[in-house]
Amino acid sequence: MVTFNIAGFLADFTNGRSEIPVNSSPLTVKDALNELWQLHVGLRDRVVNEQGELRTHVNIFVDGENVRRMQLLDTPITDRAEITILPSVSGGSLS
Amino acid sequence: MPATNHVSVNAGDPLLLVGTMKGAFVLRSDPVRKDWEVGGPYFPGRAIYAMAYDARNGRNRLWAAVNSPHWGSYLSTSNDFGKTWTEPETYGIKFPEDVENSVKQIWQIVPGNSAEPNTLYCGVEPAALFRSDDAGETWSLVKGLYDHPHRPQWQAGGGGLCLHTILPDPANKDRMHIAISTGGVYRTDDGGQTWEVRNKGVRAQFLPPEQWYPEFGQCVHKIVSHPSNPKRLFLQNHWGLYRSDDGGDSWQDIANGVPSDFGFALEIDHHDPNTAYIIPLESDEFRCTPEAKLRVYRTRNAGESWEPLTNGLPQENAFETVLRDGMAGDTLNPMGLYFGTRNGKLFGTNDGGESWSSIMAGLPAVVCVKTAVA
Repeated sequence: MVTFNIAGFLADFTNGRSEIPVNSSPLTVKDALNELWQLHVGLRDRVVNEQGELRTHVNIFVDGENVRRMQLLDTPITDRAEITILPSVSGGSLS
Repeated sequence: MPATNHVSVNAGDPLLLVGTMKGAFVLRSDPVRKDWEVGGPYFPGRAIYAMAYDARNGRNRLWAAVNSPHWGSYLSTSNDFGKTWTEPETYGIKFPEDVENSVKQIWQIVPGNSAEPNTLYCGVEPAALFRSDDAGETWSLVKGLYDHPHRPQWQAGGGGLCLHTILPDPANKDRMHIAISTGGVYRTDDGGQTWEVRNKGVRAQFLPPEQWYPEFGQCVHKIVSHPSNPKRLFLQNHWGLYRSDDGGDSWQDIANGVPSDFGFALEIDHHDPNTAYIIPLESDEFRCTPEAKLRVYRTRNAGESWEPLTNGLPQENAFETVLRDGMAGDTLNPMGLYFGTRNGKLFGTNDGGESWSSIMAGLPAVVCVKTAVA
């Protein structure tokens, strides 16, 4: 079972839940996200853009490894993966 | 998060909608427009580049374009003057799946012509126009503009490749001007199906001199039109100040006696098409008020001459910048005029610019000032 860890602002769109299990057996991060969107659609537009690409200042970690150092959303996962979605260290504003 | 204040609004109250780099504010006053109550901050930490008020069809709806560096850009509404705002599960402004593009930022939201009271328009980066015909419930890309053959040649300016100005013609629901940096002015006369350039006479000083007047590609910073005489427009360019008397078919240089014809902010007097206001900046290299004096320049003769308005504005050490949506006039008479600076100062006048007063200071950088009457 794949488990998503959701924190902070994004929990507003999961009814406050911080751990969200996905019962199917997705093969990639993208597959797992598509399952997550089915459960909590409010997460989708905030995490990926309309092309399905990970937003520039959002990071996804699979078992602690940033998918940007792997195959982004095509990163393969195991059926016991822990996937964490976090805002990147950037943000705020220059102004 | 900071404590949030709210304003109680009565019918007829003048409102100021102020978007900053770190949140939005809603201010209310009475028709004298001297004292202002402040509501906000709303959306703390988010950049609010666009706000609007829609009072058509019995609505009292505020709109805000909420931009997060992390979570993207979306529209939010309030039907109670800011006490509550929507946080939509899915975003309304998105490129369709068959268009390989994604919204970076929403730059403008504007109610449409009064003959179409459920129509709104939204301008975004990368430059594109969206339209809603159900009061903002759903939106669709205006393909007539997106498929324009010029689009591949539009280039990003300092603020990105943005469609930042939308001017529905109040007398003709099928006509609209839009402005793109860097693309220039385009006009539709058939409700958005086709678009033609309207840049004749506007220079592009960043090109070699022999190419200063291209068909398109100008970096237009802002255009305004007169509500009852919409063929009268003013244009503040990236170097250049212009007037049109023929709906944008041609433009005349009117930079007569201003300290600089570089700037962003521009407004027309809603009761007098010959009166307009600008806030010049020194140059593209040094985007601050010339001589460190905060001066609004006013013309009352359609640009034949300009006069500085300084009473109540700082005239020493005023290194201020007012951006393209940073100044707006209200619909009352005499017109109230308001502007906000990147240094977080908000000023206003209730006498046509003869005297100014500070409304707020210490705001985050102001990027949007809009007006409304409840």
